[in-house]
Amino acid sequence: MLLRLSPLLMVPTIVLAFLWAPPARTLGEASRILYFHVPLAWISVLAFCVSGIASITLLAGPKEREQRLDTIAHNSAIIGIVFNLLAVIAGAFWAKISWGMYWNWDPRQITIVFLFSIYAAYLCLRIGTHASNAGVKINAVYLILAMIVLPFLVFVLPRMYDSLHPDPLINRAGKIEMDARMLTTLVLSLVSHSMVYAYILSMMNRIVRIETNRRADSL
Amino acid sequence: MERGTDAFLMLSSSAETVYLSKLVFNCIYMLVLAAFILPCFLFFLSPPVFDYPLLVGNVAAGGIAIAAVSTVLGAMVARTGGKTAMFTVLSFPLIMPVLLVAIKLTEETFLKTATGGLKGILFLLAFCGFITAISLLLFRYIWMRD
Repeated sequence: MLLRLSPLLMVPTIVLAFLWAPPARTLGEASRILYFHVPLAWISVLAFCVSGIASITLLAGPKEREQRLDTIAHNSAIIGIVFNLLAVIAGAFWAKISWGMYWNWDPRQITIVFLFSIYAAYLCLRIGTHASNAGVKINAVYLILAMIVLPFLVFVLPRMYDSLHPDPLINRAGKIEMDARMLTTLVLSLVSHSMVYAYILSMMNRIVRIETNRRADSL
Repeated sequence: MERGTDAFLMLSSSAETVYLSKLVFNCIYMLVLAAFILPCFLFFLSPPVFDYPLLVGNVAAGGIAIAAVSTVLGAMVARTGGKTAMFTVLSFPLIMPVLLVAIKLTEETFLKTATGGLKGILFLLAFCGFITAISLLLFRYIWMRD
């Protein structure tokens, strides 16, 4: 029930992002993209982690739950891919305004595209293993491997080289250097995007469950 | 022939033993390949290398990291029913971080004031270690048939 109301939380998020939060000092009005670009990237990472954790549970758990966990892992990976793509597009528009070009070969831009291609390859693997009995387990192993590579791409590589991106919200000094109203809006946006992700995931899982039941009934 | 070898290995060895032996083979293969290619690269292109130990360390660490990724992915592709084209699709994105760091490190060896050399080697070794540890734990799910 609570999840069904989650899209409604996007309304105050949009209002706060465009009307309440002040524009950043140097970036101006374009800085409002922050309230969508950062949550989109965050949700894509969250979705990939959920698919990895579901895969670990699949391999460790009983056989009866395999199909259900495989569906969760797959649907979460798909949502992650879509949010990842949206984060890249939102980032490209922001980059055009701030840095003059849509694509700047920035370490963060490169690594997020690597992440996208890793999960796009997962979709190819899933199609390839569709007919195989071992497919579910092989897909799960790949998703776990992808989850292991994820921190290297998201947290390690971008910090190894000079980046056009500003310091992360919680920087090396361990301080949050952001206006209180901006921070509130960003946190609300993160929460509302996370709830939308949970809502979409539950809907996708439900659709698969209904289709499976219908197929079983027709047989 | 391949199926016969697989069946024999499944009967006679544990999944972990098979994985480690495949990994060791791939590491040696990559290092031998690098030992041949690196002198050829230096001889034919004559790059201005200032830091030879860093270059050798980079090539070795990069080769081992590629071997670690490709060993587990090779086993997965073998289980997809011989769809060899799948190997390129799966391995390329996972090898990209290794290639990115190794290329940047090679670039550093051409500079007189190289700074981030050790950081790059550590990244390659950490990446290799993580992938190997997880692959070792998960290999039996790829190797064993239901």
